[in-house]
Amino acid sequence: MQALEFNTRTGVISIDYSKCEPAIGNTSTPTCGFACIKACRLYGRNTLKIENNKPVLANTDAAEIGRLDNECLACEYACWSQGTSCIHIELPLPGIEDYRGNPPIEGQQKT
Amino acid sequence: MARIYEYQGKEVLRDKGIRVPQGSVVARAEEAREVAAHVGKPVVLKAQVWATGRFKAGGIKFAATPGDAEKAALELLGSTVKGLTVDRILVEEQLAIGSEYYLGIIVNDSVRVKGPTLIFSTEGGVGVEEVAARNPERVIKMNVNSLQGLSSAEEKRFVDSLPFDEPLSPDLARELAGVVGSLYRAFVDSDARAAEINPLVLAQDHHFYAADCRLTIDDNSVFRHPEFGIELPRDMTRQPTELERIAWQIEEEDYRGTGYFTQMVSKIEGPGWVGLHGIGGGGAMIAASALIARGFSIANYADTSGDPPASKVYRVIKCILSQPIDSYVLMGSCLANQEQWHHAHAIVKIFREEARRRPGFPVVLLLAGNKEAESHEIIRNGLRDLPLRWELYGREYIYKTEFVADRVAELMAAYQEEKAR
Repeated sequence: MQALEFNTRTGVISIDYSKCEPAIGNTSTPTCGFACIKACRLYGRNTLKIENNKPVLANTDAAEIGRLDNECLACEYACWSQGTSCIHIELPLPGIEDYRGNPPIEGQQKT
Repeated sequence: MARIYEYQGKEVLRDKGIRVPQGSVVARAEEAREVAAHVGKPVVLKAQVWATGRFKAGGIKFAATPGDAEKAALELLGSTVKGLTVDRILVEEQLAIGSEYYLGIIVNDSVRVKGPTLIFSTEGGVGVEEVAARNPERVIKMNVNSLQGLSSAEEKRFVDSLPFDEPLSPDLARELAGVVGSLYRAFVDSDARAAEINPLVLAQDHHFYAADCRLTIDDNSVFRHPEFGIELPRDMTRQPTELERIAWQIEEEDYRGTGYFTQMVSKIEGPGWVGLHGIGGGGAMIAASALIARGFSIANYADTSGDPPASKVYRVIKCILSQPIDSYVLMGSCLANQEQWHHAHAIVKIFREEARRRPGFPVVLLLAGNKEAESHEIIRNGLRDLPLRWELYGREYIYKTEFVADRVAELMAAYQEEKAR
């Protein structure tokens, strides 16, 4: 499995294992120190755990993940800060990008 | 509190058995003629906007004939009353007014009451607060036990206690008691925070009529009332803007904390606009005062208190930054138990996404409270390499809003100078 993607209550979290240092090296002592897991314990609700030297979901029941996860965004920050930026969190807000394109905000590109 | 229009309120009252003037709401001038012809009497045309003092503002016109009604409707439709565009008019019969009173029911938040309070004033057509201040003996109140409801005996007792100059006849007293009971049922069934009839007219045909009314619905109950067509349960005097509609999605089905966003103006023109983000209303108000005193304009009001998740905070900031503003100010000056690191993570995520789209953009952050030191560390680390003019302050600055306004002024001046080059 090259990536883990799962839904939270209002967003989508994806972890790209092809960029994840412990997953690539299959090491239990990565430079990042599994910062994402530590962040999930401190700021979140233990959504992630370590299994076979990579971050995986602690609970495979999608509905339970949606209920438990508190969308703290800390794993993405921790991976950016101490790891390799392999975690991305998408938080959609329908209509906002179209709105921003009309009228355009100076210097801003429509995404 | 979400508002409904006068014509909607009158439909509610009519359904409960309260007499309202004969008429209908229209959106075209020809329809006004048709309604006036159907009524067969002189009519009054009332702009359906959420504003008081409509008569003085030109939002109410009188017409003796259907032709006059069409002409008056042409003048009203598309006009603005107190800055609000008129797109609907209530056309209804002119009442032959005998006397005017006020009748209302409000949710009384006083710790001694915490329930509905009935209010009657023998002076109607003016604000009840004004009458209460000038002639308190004319305003009578009675608290209602919301669990037991209002009994017919209590309705009668209330009416018997009213200080009319001349006592009502038994028939009129009975009719008024019925109006009181009907209004209470309308109040309860509509999940209203307030239901007012002002004026309650005693017409020359010796019946009581709701000549005007105002119902405000509890925000948390709006979902139970699709019949009112309330898009956003907010206390607004206008229809929501496109951005407010988008932002409402943040709150709509997510009860976790507050993610409030509203625009102060629907169109931003000229420089000097500040996107203001408060955590708790008090701090935000103080900051707004300081910023306005410096000559800035506030583009929006936003609040993320009540311990919302970082995802909610992120989306609120995204809405703030979707306006053509010249700076972003966070007044997170609460010292509540909300862990501020969720705000810190949201701030870092949004500005890491936004910074390169607006180089040099001023960001002034005042974040105080629980986990303040940890939150500051997250922000300092997260924003350290971004091309923004950002500054971060903590609890020692929560009463120094003048200082925060000064910092905004300096950073914004530099940003505007840079943009002008």
